[in-house]
Amino acid sequence: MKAFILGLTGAIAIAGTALGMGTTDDGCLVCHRLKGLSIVNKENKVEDCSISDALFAHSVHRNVGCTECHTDIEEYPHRPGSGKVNCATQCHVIDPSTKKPFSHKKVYETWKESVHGKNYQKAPDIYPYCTYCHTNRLLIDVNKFEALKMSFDRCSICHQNKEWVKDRLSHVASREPIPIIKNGFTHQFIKTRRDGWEIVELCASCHEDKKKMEKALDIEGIHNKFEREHVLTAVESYKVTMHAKMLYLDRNDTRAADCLDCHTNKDGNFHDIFHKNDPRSSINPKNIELTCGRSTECHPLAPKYHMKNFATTKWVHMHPIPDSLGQKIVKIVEEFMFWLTTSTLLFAVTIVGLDLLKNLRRKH
Amino acid sequence: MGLWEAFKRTFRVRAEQDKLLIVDGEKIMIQKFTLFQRLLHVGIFSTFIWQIITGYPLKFYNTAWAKPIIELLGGIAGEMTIHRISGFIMFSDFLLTVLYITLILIANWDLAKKDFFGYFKIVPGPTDITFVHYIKYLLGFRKVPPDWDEYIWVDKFDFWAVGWGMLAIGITGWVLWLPEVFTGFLHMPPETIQIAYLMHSDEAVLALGWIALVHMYMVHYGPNKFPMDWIWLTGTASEVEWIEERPRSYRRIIKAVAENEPHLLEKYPFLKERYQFVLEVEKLPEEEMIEKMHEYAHHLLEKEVEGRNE
Repeated sequence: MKAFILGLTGAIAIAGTALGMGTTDDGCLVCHRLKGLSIVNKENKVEDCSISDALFAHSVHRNVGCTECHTDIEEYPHRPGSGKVNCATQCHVIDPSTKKPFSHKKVYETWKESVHGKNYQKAPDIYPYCTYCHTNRLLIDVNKFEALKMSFDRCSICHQNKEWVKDRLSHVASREPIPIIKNGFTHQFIKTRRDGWEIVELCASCHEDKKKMEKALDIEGIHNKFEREHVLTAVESYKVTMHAKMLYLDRNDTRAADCLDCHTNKDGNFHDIFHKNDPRSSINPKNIELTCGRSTECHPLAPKYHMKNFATTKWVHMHPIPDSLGQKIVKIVEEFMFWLTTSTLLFAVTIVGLDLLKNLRRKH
Repeated sequence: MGLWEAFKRTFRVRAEQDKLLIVDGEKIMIQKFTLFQRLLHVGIFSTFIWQIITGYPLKFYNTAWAKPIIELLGGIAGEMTIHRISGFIMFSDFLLTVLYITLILIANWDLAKKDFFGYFKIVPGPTDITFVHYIKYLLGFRKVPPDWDEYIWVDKFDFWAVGWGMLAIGITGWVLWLPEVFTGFLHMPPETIQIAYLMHSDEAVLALGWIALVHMYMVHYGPNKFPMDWIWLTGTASEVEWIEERPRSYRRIIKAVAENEPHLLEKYPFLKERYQFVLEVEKLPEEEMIEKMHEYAHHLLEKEVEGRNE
């Protein structure tokens, strides 16, 4: 009896919290909140299907019903393995800017035409779907940050519904660095979304996988030796560029370009990644100057003065792939520098070694 | 005195006899570097150290020490600022050296026409056959070290390598600092930045490798110099060192003093003794001459030690 009362109290408390936050789970959490809820998948592996209701209540999608995205699920209990989300669907949430039902459809359409989406149906295990990069992220707790509390107090002067204000502020703060105030001054910023290096790591999780990339190149029908090498060595060659080193060595400094900064268009939706020969591509010779100067932190002079030579520099493949006369010349310079350095240092080691031996054996 | 005469006097190469210093009326020192030359060296090596501290974490970005150093330098912004300021000073030092050499060349053109390698000893020339002798000596085909002149092979290598290095690392540094200027405003081809990047990076390894292995061995941690050769600071070397390390130059200096300032030989008997010794050893075959000079250097050293103990 005691256990029943305790359980009932707990259930009411959770339901109350969920209602308080405006959470809507379509009743799915009745089962999925159970810890240890698992299935055995097709590969004979145990797959955890449990969802923390507390975490869900503080997530970005807390106001969206499960079945609004998991559109394949129409029955209860549903069959295992039918849980894939449809990100192009419209949900019941009204976009306050357009007053229309909210949807990621536009972004989804871009993705579908991009290098990541156009062949997705042919090989869904190789190409990334929305959920490969995007998760149901947690919102920021505004009460934890002094700087946000100040904004919160100001917003509340006009907007009377404090829960609503808190919700909106959490939403915005989850996209921007949050200042930490110490002794009345901004001490540091806490990042709330992926920094440049995390984006590089995300892209590298596929692009560094040579087997995966070779399969993708076969599907794309790219057989040119040099073009394949460009794709297969993209990550390792990016990592030795100044852009990569700046991002890696100082995570607080986000000025340098990550993958998305160059491979998506200025004023685009960050999913418009196309082959460089596609006129819609940000790295197409037609658009490359604008891409280099996409922000004042980048190279704003490039588009202003049409710096074609600057913009068409092999910013990623600093170590040349000899597919043109220019790159062959760079390769010769690279080889020359390598042998000059190696032979000089070998000579240095030899001469110092011999001199040292002579000195030690010398009878004074 | 006209401007040309004043200019010529300022930049005239030092006469051999002027390199000899007599200290306290009893000790001979040889002045190798002038104050200005020493200041040029201080400018190069102090900025070089900063360039290594700020540049190597970028070159070896994936090592355990790279991130802590960048943090200590004030992040990427701090690191880049120091690297660029230091690079600017280093390049200015190089330009000043080029200007200095040019002015010396102009002021001494009459001498250069007479005996170029004789007056411009830092330029690789006929006396560098000593390098072959040095290799033979190291490999055991020769009993004594070579008859080194004022600038030995490593002095020349260090001097001209910095010149090459400044072209390879300095100009490429400018390209990497201002890529928009070079490829945008000056319309240089897109490969310019790539070549600059590769050369800058490899030349940094070459420069540090050479300095750490050879230069530092010769002037710091080599058995003859440990803990360091103070010549970078004082500009002068002791007589014993000069006889052992630059015997040809020593003989020339002593002879030049005897020929051009004979009154000094009368004033200082020990100078007369040196002169007679030089005339005598020059009659001997080369290897024997070097051996005798080394013995003489040891004799002088022993005398100096005895004098100190008395």
